[in-house]
Amino acid sequence: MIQITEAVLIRFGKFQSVSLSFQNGLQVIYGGNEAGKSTLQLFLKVMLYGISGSKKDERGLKVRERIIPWEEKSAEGILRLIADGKNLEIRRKFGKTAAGDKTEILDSNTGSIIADYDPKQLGEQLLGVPESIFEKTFWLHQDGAFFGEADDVLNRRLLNLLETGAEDVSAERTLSWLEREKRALKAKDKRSNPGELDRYRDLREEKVKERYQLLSDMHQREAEERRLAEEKVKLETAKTEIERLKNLAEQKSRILELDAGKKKLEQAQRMLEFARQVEAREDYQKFQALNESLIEKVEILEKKIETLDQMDAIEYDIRQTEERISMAQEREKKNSFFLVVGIALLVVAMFFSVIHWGWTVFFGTVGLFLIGSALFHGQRAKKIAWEKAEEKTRILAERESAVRERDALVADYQSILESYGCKNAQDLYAGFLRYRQSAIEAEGFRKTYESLMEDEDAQTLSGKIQEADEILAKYEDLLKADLDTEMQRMQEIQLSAVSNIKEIEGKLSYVFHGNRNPADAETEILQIDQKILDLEKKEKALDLATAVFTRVHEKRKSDFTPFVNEKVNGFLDILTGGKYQDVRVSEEYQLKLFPDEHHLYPAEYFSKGTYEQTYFALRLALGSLLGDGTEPLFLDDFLIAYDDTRAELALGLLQKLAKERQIFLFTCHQRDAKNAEKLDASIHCLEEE
Amino acid sequence: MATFVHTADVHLDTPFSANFSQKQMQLRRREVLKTFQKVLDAAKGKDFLFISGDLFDGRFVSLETVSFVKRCLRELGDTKVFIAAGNHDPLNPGSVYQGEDWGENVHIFSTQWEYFDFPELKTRIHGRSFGQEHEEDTLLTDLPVREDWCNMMVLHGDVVADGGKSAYNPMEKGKVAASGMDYLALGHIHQASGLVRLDNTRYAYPGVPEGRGFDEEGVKGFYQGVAEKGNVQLTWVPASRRSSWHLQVDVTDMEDSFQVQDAIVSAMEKAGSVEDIYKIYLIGQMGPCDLSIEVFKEELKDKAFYLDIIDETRPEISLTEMAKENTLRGDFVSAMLREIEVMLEEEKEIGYLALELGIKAMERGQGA
Repeated sequence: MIQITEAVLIRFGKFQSVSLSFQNGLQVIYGGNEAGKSTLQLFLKVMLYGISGSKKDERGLKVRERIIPWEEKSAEGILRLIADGKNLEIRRKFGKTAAGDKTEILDSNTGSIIADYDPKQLGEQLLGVPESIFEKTFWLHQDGAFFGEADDVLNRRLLNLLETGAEDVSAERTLSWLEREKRALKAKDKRSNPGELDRYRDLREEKVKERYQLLSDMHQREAEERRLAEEKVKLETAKTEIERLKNLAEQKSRILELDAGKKKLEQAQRMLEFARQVEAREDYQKFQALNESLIEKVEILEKKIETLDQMDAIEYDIRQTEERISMAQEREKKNSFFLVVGIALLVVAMFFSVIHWGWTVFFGTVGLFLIGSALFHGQRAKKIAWEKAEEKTRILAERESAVRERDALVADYQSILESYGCKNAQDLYAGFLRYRQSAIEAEGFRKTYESLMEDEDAQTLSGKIQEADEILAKYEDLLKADLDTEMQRMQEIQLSAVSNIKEIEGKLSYVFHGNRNPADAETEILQIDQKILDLEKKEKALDLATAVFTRVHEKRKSDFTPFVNEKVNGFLDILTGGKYQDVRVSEEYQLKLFPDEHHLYPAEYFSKGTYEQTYFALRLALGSLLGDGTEPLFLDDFLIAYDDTRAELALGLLQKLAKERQIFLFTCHQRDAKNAEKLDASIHCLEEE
Repeated sequence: MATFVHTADVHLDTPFSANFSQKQMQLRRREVLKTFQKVLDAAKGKDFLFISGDLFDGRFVSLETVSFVKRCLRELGDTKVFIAAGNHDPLNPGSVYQGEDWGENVHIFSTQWEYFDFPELKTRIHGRSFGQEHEEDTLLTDLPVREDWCNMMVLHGDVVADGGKSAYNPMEKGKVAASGMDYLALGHIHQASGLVRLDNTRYAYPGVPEGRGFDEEGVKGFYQGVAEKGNVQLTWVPASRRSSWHLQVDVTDMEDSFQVQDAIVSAMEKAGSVEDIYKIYLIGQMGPCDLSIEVFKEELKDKAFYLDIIDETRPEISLTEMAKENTLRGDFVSAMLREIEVMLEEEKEIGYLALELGIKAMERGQGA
């Protein structure tokens, strides 16, 4: 049991060196407004619990601002009390900050410091409840109905009414911790920060993509490597083929040389054959013995014969001569005619000389001309006839001589021509020319033959041709093959392969170099999967723990709630004079009343007095449940809204309770002070300054 | 008498279950290849090399790895290599085994039974590959056994009790015993089985030659052996470059984190070497003590190739005692224990985690 015996306000708010002594039972501190009731009430609380945090009151003032007097740096006071039979003296000094606070707990009998008490925990050590519960149970300020939100500490303490020990489990904090753990695993929604499980799932997606990419790269790289290998094979094949084609080309060249040799030799043989064929010609044989001097001789003979054959000309000349002679004779006859005519004309002229001169002249002239002409030409014709007769004689003689010579020459000539079967020199010469042509031709063939044969002999030649025939038969296809085209094709393949190899090697060096093995990504995925599995287990476990904890917590709450209801009903029955006996307390300490048997209404629906009485009953109930009933109660003007009857009932209840505990009732109402006095309460009057 | 090396489940280019760094992953992949090379070194000069499936891990196999394997196998020369594809590398149209340049000495069994005779060794080798990921019906069938010769089989799958089932070629023990084989070189089980005898038939799983995760704990290797009609002898040869260790360290009664760290080091030294891969689970109950896992890892980084430490310690409290408390916490623990009791076995872990989190919430929540 705690009994406060004296409060000494050395420097506290408006109080300077004020001392108040208290007794057991109901203590009424009476005073008007601003007498310092609330300050004194605050003094009692901070002396017990100290000042924690920087909570402000309804006027916006911090506790320290309220208690430190103006122009002072600290507040100070002493609270003397009896706790469990020990006289204690609590000395506290409050600075403007917590750093300036000082507390001493002394044995008031000996003055020695008692180490058993922790200044910060003093209130709880003495009253058994923390400050938050103290404010909801043993401390009632003017707005007594204000209870605030559900109090986890209060709940916990109430829960533990049904247990022994282990009072430190907070359901709210436990569930909050479990929820935090869940949120750390998994985001509540898309806007929240991702949890560890979310991050691992995202990471897994990334790794799966990476694995796919690596696998794809690996297949691509392997395809490139296979292509590289193929290109290398192509290159090697092309090189080998090119080498083979080179050898084949050389072989073909040699074979072609052989072929050319063979053809040369065959050509030589043909030349020889041609030479022989030419030499076998008839003309060649016939005229082979003929020489140019003989031909010349025959030509000369022929010319001579030809010349001798001019006898025809002689004959001709003879005939010509004879014709000339004949013509001369004819002319002589004509000249005789013209002579006669001339003479006749002269006769005529003479005849006309008588009759006509003119005609005489004319006829005479013409007759003279004709006579003269006939005489001239007649003479000349006679001369020609004579000359021609002489010429004819000479020609006849020449003809005789030539005929003899010709006959001799013709015999010789004929003899030569006959031996060569020719008709004349021209034939003979033509035959000789043909021989000469053939001889030249044959010589040409032979020279070609010799040139082709060089130093070879026929036997070697024959052997070589046979060998060439065999080799050529063997490599017939090779000779037909288009090695150049094939070589060109192979060189193109080689170039293409070299280019491709460079390109692929480059790609392998730069594009795929340093790529991880997809098995590495798979390893990481396996590890992530394991992590996800573990985290999913943890998630399930957190869900399960939350569900089970919530369930047992609900169960325990359902166990203590009727207990609280019963206590509240007891106090409310007294406070309302039996009008309300059935009240329900929710988990959040919201109160509902049954005005009749069938209806349940929130306390807020009732009069302010009833409402406050209900919450007062709740505080008393909670206090009686949480404490042992001996803790002091501090009540600040809580009877304002009570009517006289209920105020009396309330004071009656307080008097009853005050038998076991100290009750401090702060009031500014004389009614309540007087009523309390009637109940033997100690009255302490605070006077205004 | 035929000499042989038997390996399986190499799982080349496998993902790893440990939380390796990029460098560690690359290194480990190369190490698995080198371990495989070590197996091949042992096979040189032997008559046969049996690879009983899952030589490759599956979809992430690189061309480089396949080329490496082909080259190594070709270099074995006279040793005849028999490969039976497994569930991770089934012989399907996209299989890595479809390439042609495997070498004259390498035979990859088709998805039909095949056998090869070696008269000079009086040995007949039978085998068959998986054609798909799952072979729910047994592949084991009556085979053309050469009675007077030694018959061996290369195959991937599960040996099961008679009537047993498996998605990976279930081979009933009775049928194995009646197969007429002298030796079944099997693959699929990642732990070495030792030489198992069923009547006159013997079989063995060599396990993985290099562990890939904490479910393949300890030193790994392969078998080499000799076989003749009615007689098979095996020797297990360790080959793994590193071992994985999954260790539990009970911290109950330990007073501070230094004591815990010493216990971790001690457990690691007892199990393996500084070259190894460790996952340490701290279990038991411990008083208020900051176990600073990340600090442990930093301080012990030179003690292992890879080290992971997981704190699974529980508060130093008795749940059953706590459940008896007439408090909210007692009610919670009691309700949780009742929940856990009716949970499926695989869900109980979540139940206990919920219990732990609830208690932690009640403890930690008060300080918030």
